[in-house]
Order: sequence, then structure tokens, then C-alpha cells
Amino acid sequence: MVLEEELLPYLTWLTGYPWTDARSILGSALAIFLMTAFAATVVAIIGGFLIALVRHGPMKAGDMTYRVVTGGVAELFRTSPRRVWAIARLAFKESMRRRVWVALVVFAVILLFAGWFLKTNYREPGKLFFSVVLMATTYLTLLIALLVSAFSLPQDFKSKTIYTVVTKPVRAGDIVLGRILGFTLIGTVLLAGMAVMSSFFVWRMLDHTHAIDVANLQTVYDAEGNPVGKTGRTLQSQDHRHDVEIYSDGTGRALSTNEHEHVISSRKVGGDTVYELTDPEGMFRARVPEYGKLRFLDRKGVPVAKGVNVGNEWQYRSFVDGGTQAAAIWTFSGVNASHLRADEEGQVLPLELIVRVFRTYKGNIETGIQGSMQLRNPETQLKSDLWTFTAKDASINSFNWPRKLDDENRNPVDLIDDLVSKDGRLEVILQCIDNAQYFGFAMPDCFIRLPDGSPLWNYIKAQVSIWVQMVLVIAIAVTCSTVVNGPVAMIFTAAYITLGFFWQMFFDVATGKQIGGGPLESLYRIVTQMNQMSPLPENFGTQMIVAVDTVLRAGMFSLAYLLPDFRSFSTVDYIAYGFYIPINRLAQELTACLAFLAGLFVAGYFLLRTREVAK
Amino acid sequence: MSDRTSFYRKIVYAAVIVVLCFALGWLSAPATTNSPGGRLAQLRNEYKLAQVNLGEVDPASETIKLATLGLRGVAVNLLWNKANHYKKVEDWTSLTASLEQLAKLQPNFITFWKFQAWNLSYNVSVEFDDYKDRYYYVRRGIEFLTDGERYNEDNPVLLWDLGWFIGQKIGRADEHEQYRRLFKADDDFHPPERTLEERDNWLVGKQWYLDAIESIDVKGFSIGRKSPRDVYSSPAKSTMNYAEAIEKEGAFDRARRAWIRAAEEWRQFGQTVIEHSFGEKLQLGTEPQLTKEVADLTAELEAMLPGVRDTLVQEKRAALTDEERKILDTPEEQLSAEQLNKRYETSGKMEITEREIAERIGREKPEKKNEALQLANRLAHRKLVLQYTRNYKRDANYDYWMTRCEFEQTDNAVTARRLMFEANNEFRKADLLTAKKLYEEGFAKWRLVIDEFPSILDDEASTGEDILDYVKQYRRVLDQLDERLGDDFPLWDVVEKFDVEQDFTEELQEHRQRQGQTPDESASQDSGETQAPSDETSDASQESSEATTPPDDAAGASGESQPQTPATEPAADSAQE
Repeated sequence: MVLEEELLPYLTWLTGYPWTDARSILGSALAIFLMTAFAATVVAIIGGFLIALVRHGPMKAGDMTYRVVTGGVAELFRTSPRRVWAIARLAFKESMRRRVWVALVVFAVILLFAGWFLKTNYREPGKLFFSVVLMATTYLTLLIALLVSAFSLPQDFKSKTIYTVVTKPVRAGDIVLGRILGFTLIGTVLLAGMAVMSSFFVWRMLDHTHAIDVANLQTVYDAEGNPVGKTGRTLQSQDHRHDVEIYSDGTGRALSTNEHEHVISSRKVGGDTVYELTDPEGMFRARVPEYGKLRFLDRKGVPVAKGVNVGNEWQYRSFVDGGTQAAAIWTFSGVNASHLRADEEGQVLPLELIVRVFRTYKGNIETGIQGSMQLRNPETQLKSDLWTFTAKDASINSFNWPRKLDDENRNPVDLIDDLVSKDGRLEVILQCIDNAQYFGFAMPDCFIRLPDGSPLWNYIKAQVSIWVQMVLVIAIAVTCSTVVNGPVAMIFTAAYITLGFFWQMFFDVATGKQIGGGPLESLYRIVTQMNQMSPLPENFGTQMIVAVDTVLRAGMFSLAYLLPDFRSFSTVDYIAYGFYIPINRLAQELTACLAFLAGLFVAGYFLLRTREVAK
Repeated sequence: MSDRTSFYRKIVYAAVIVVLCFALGWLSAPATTNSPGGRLAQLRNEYKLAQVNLGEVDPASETIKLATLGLRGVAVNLLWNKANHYKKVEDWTSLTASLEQLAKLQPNFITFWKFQAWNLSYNVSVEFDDYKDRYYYVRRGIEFLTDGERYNEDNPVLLWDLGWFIGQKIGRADEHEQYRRLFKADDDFHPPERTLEERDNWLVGKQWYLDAIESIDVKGFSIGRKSPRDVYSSPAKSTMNYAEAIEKEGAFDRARRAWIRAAEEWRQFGQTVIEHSFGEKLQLGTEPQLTKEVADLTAELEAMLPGVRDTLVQEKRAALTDEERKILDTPEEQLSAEQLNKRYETSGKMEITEREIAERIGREKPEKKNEALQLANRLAHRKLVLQYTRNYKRDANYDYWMTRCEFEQTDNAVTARRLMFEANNEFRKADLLTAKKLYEEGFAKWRLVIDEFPSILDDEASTGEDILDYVKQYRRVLDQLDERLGDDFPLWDVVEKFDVEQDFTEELQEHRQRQGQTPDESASQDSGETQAPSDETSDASQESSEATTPPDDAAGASGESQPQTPATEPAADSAQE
């Protein structure tokens, strides 16, 4: 699975722990949140004061600002859960009256016709199907959340039902929070419905079995000429076949194709043997990886930040030269006996590795490139014996290291006692053996495989990620709808979401990393069909463009901290590639969501108070 | 009054509606099984504008096009970007899925099918290390193109590309041995009625070429910018490639039959009328007749005024300056670069055209002026056709392949190939003495073949390099037996001519010295006679680059008016062929 950004431990992400320097603290999520909140508050207070200044003069403006801030803060703390719940129920009922359940019908129709556009003839059908249904769920949920929440308050203002509400002892904060909660509840129900439907759809689409091509089964004999089983193929089903191995007792396996296997059983019917295959196994997985830190050695064995770039535009992996001292070294922490797994040959440490092979010459086409793996104690430098292997390119290569093994001098050693350092560290050294050939690695390419998690629980966690996005959209839309009418709130929120989905590009434009310049410069290049890399002509117009872009970029930079990065909330890839979603990641998402929610709630409260009716 | 007016108005409206309905019915009634439909339906049918005329109507495609609500262009752009992104991040499943979605959005955009099928077969496949994975994506590209053909029935460009992909990508890649084996064993690709023998990539590719030609000749489709020479020569070339491939796999009897068939098909190609890019209709096999016709016409023209050419030559020479005459009379090797340029210009001044001859005849014999001018025009035209024919023949390597087809079916050639094959096998089995004996018997047979068909060692021929490969194998056997190539080795001329990589420099020098030649002579021979084009070089450049873009119709495959691009596989192959 591709992880372009390392997932930090929760505490490190939140507070910058272990606080190695000031930068780590300032770069932590909590520090950024506090700084952003402070800046937004200051801007809001100054803005409010200036407006009051223009309308009422300096003395009254100061007085009003003081009272709004102190009164507002005090009132925020008097928000009543009971009243919030009452408003939430109202919002829920209102949504039901607006027939939001139609979204489920729409989703069902999408799934009904999805079969037209999705085929099963891919090598990773599960990946494709999960990607599609989760993306469809995300987009539809966000759309419904947007439509429901953006029009609700404006509709109340328009129909004047808000007057009925405010005649009750309800505060502005109760209204905002109640609406957010109510719409979240209805969204949760819809999301749950979609999750059930989509999981049923994926299961139905991918569930299959095969018949054995009995006519072409070939008997396998041992050295003494006794039959020990049969090999052959299955017939085609869902656009693929499997090679099969059938043992003498009639059981066997249909070997892995398109990321799944089948178990074979047999029974006698009359004089014939009838083979039966189970449903696919391994298509729905939740691998639990434990990642280490990756570093590289160059061809002379000198530590370097990265390996060789073999010319790929995508610099996710870097490569080590074959037949030299170049190596990729992973350091795993906290390794102990609990990482071992019971195997037929005793306890083993299951390591999995993804290798990308790059050949500088074709060599023997029929055989793969040879590599070696070695374990090392980072303290004592004791090394295990080399494990040489033929690399399966772009696939998961499995290595079950036995607990009892030999060191490089062929002396017996214990993996946990001798090769793991006292503080639980273990190094895994990967090298390419063949001269002038290369192996490419990224940090997540080597991991200790812990026992698999529950695919169902993993799927639910993916839905939680979608739920987080939905809550954010609802909060943004409700906040907007406190001051503007429905369509404007919807457009504003849609723009906010769109920018959120392209947050990285937005941030890169703001910080000047994106080639092609700022907004005006880009527009100039588009209109004049100028290449992004060409320098701008030197004239007054382009100087003005650059100057205005500088101002715009500063604005974008500030705005970027108020935008949620929607893509970072997506866990679709985990499900698609069959990897367990770390609880840590979910916790980070929920915390970020809470932070945005708090900010938007406060903003929504003060904005609603500006309306005549809610004072 | 007003009620009545309103009523009349409604009557008028109803009448107008009825009249318009008739007009509308006449214009746009849909075609049914019993009726050709309205005028629009007939026009649509006549000009093949309906979707059904283009190919299969796919409900999924139509649905997705409608579902984009007029934003198809935007959706296409987004998907293309996504496809590029997926390729960059090596997400091949998502890339393939994106391409299929794109295909549904723009099913009749031919370049899209070509480009993306090429992407899969050539660019994605090489990203994998295992040749089975590579074959999987080569096949996916072919299947993608087949889908394109379904949406665009009888499109000769796609049909021809299918022939190319199946033939060239499977049969010419570095992994061609493995690909051909997997292709044969691919039960899911081939229709059940296709026999094992027919499951050869060259034969399957040939069938697509024939379909392309049928769509042009019978169904009247245009081949666009593709050269007709390449299109019409492809089936015969496929047969030759098939013969060559199975020969290397040891199926000599079948290969001989294939060479016989290829010879016949090549002759037919020579008689096929193909259109030159300037509009002339050519038949490559008629070059001898054309040459004779030009000679006859020239003689006939000059016979009208005997000695006219000599007279004109003398007059033109007399009109030259002294310096020009001197340059013309001086041997080329004694001229400076500037003088050579001058000589080239002067030679142009000395050229005698048919027109000049005819005009001179007209002046000398006015009564024959019209006849002479007509004859001159005819001669000029036939000369032009001859020149085009020769160019096309040269580009298609027509004579070489004709000779190749002829000699490969002879007993001597088949025996020579068989002996080489057996010798290679014995060498692999480390039976050096038997291998040596078989090689020597084989080389003796090759000698006979070369003596009978000396043109196979022409500079443009690749057979010499095939033989040189055998010689290299033979030398490896000799090396292991601690022996060297002797003077009685019958193919020294092949070694001298085709040892471009100078693997035999030492042996050649020793051989020449033994033959009494000086080292200087040897050196001059070395530098002057090793100009044969190298298939291996072509293949190497082809595979090292593994082209990143599909062949351009004009440049990639035809070689008609643009230089071949060595970075693309078809170009490399074309150069080889």
C-alpha cells in the first residue's frame, strides 16, 4: 500500500511530543489550532469593532464590542444539552419531512447500474470495487449533507418559523449546535444505509466459485512413481482462472489469482470424483502492518538520505544498486515475542516486503532478480544468515523468519533474544544481489505482519472517515446559513469543500511550490497559452500581476489554515488495498473534526447573533 | 365575438400542428424494418451518420454520456488527468478502469483507442519484471483495441493496428519466445474453433490485416494517413514472419509451406494497385515492364531524329565555361569540396530531358513536332511512375523479400536451416563434436544457397546477419575445442561483409595474411565493406526505448515521406523489414 506521508503517533501529531525543538511544538496540530483560533478571533473582533465604529462612533463601538464578546462567551458556556437535543430532533424531523431518504434510493439505483461500468476482469477487483463504492458513498453523503443543512435555517427565516423557535428560551448557540447535531444524526442513518448496501453490492459482485477443468488434470508422481496428487486449472469464472493443486486425499487449493484463493474439497458420486471450490478467500482482508524507519546505504556502504533515482517521475521509491554495498535498512521498534506467530515449524517473525525491480539490462527474462534479506541487532551488530530470494516485482513477498536461526557464521541464535536490541529494535537489511540491477523501496514496503484485523470492523472505520467529512460539511453549511440565504450558503459550502478536496494544491499555490505562479499569473498563462515553465515577459503588466499575486497568496495562505484537507480524511486506500485502518489515524481525524466543529460553532453562534431575530 | 375569435384561432393552431406533424413525419420518422424512415433517417443512413453505423451501440456508453449533462468534455479531461496520474503512481488497476470509463465517454475517437491501447501494451507492460505480467498487459492493450473495433466496426486503422499489436508486439519484443508461447496457450483469448497451429500471433495478426484491407477495398473505408504500401504488404509480411518464427522453433516443413505461401502473397502484393501519395497508381511487380517501356519509348523518341541526344550533349557542353568543362573532365577524387558542388551543378546543366529532345525534333522536323511532344509527355510520365515504383519497391525491400521467399523454400536452404537448428541443440547439450559437424555441413549448404541466390548478401539484406549469428555459435564450439576458423571455411565472404561489430577482426586478418593480402588491403576492406544494416541494432534500440507513444500513421509505419524514428517499435521494425 502506498503511504506518501508518514502517520505520526497521536501525541506527536497533537502536541509535537517528545518536543525535540520549538519547531516540532509549533508544527503540532494543537499549536496550529490555537494560533489559527487566536488569529481568527482577533480578526473577528477588530472587524466587528470597525463596523460598529463606522455605524455608531468610537465609544459605542468599543462598548458594543466588549459586551458582545463577554456576553457571547458567557452565553456559549450556558448552552443547554436539553435544548440542543430538542433542536436536533426538530432538525431530524424536518429532514425526514423533506424526504432525504430519497438519497438511499438514488444510491441503490447507482449500485444497480454500477455493474454496467465495473468489470471483474482486473487483477485487483476488490480494490476497484471498494474504491468505487466508498467514493460514491462519500460524494453522495456530502452532497446530501450540503443540501439539507444549507437550506434549513434560511428556510426557517423565510417561512418565519424561526420566530416560533426564538420565542422559546433557546439561545443562538443551541440553534447552531442543535442543527448540526440533528443533520449529523440523519446523515449517520443515511450513511449506515449506504454502507450496508455497498457492502452487499461488493460481496454479490465478487462472490464466485469455479469448476475444475477435470479433463486436463495431470497426475503428479513422487520419486518412486507413486501418485501424490494432481495439478491443473479451473474453468473460467469472473474473467479469470486459477491453477490448482489437489492432494491425494482429494483436498487442495486453487492458487492465488486476482488476489484470492479457493479451497478445494471433493466427494465421490458414483465412480466419479466431484470437486467443489469454496467462495473466494483473501479478497476482503485487513492486514495489520507494523512499519519501521527506512534509511539507505549507497554503493560504497555510506549512509545517504535516499537511494538512486532510476528516472521515475514519481519519487516515492528510491532504488539500491545490485551487486554493491547499497542497501535499504528498516529499523523496527518495540519488537518482542508478541510479534511472533506460530507456524508449522515453530515460532516465526512474519515480514512482508514489496519490491519494485528495475533492470538496466534484460538478462535472463525467465528468471527474476535475486535479492537478500538479513536481520541485524543494531546494538551488537550481530547479523542473521542471509535469506536470498527471487523478487516478485510489485507483489507482496512473504518471509517467515524462524525464531531459532543461524547467524552469519552459522552459529545458532534466537531472533528475539539475540537479534533484537535491549530496547526492542531490530534492523532488516535488504540488498539486490544481481549486478547492475536495482531494487526500489519506500518506507511502507517492508512491515512486520501482525495478525489480520476484522475486515468488517475495518469497513466500519472507513465509514467513520466518511462520517467525519460529512460532519464537517454540515457544520460549514449550518454556519454559513446563519447569515446568508440557502443558495448562497450552498455555493459557499460547495466552494469550501472543493477547495478542501484540492487543499494541497491550494496550499502549494499559496506557498509558491506550484509551478505556474499564483492565480493571476496562471490566468495570464492560460489566456496566452504560455507554458508553465516559461518565464513571464518583463513588462509593467506582468509586474502588476506578480504583485497582486503576492497579496492573493498571502490571503490564500491564511485561508488554508481554515480549510479542512478533505483528502486527508479519506481512508479509501486502506480498504482498497486490504490494510487495517490504524486507530491512531481515526483518532487524529476525529480530533481535527472536533477542532473545526468548535471553531465553526463559535463562528456560527456570533454570526447568528448578528441576525435581528436571534438577539 | 371574442369567444369565436378564440375558437377560430385554436382551430388554426390545430391545423398548423397537424400540417407540421406531417412535415415532421416526412422529415424525421425513424427507420423501421419495413420502412426506410423519414428524410433525415434516410440521409443518416446514406452518409452513415447514425451511431449504429459506427459500430456497437452500448447502453452503458450512452448512459454515461447523457449522465454528464453536457459536460462530457470536462469529464473526459478529468479522466485523462486521472489516467495520467494513475500511470505515474503505478496504480495499474485504476489506470485500466479509467481508460474503460474514458472509452465509454468517447467511443468513436479513434486516436484515443490507438493511444491508450499502445499505452497498455507497450508502456505499462514494461513496468513489470515478470514476463507473465508483461504479457497480461500486452494482452489487455490488444483487448482494449478489440473493444475499440467493436465500437467502430470496420475501421481500417483499428483493424490494422490490431494486426500490428498482435504480430509485432508479441513477435518482436525481447520476450517474443515467452510471449508466443503464452499466446498459444491462452485459452481465454482465442475463440474455441481456432486450432493450436492457428494460434500463432503472426497468423492471427494477418487475419486482422486482411480484415483491414477488406474494409478498404470492399466496404470503402478510408485508411487515413497510413501508407497503402504498408497496409497492403502487411498480410504477406505476416506470413513471412510466421515462416521465420516457426523455422526458428524447428518446424521446417510447415515453414517451407509458409514460405511458398508467402512468395505467392508477395507476388500478389506486387500486382496490387496502390496509390502513391501524389496520386499515381502503382504496381510494384511491374517494374521490369516499366523499365522496358521507358527504354522503348526513349528509343522511339530518339529514332525520330537519329543522333539528337549526341547533338544536344555537344551543344550543352559547348555552352559551358572552360572551368566547368575542366571540372566535368576531372575525376571526382581529385576535386575539392567546392569543385564537387560545381560539378553537381554542371551535371544538372548537362541533363537532357525528353522535352528538349522533342522540341529539337520539332525544330528539325516540324511535321513530327506534335507526335514527338506527345511521345515525350508519355515518356516523362512513365519515367515518373517508374521512379515512384522503384522508390516504393526500395522502401518495401520488395526484391529482397521476393528472393528470400524463393530461396527459403529450396531444399538447400531448408536443409541448411535444419542443420543449424540441430547444431545449436547439440551445442546446448554440450555435444561439441556433433555440433561442429552439423555446423560444417550446414555452412556447406549455405554456400550453395548463396551461390544460387547471391543477392541475399546484398547490403540491405538481413540474411547475412542470420548466417553470421550461426558462425558466432560455430566459433564458440571451436573455442571450446581449442580450434580456429580455417581457410576452408566456406563463408569468409559473409564474415567479411557482415561483421559490423568486428568480432572476427583477428581471424579475418590472419585469414587474409594466409591468403597473401596485405594488412592495408584488409583495413580498406574492413572500412569499406561493412555497411550492412543491423537487425540487432534495430532491435536493441527498439527494446531499450520501448516506445512511449503510438506510431504516427505517416511517420511510424509508412516511411513514405518522413524518416523512420528509431525510438518507436514499429519504426524500428519497419526499418528492419
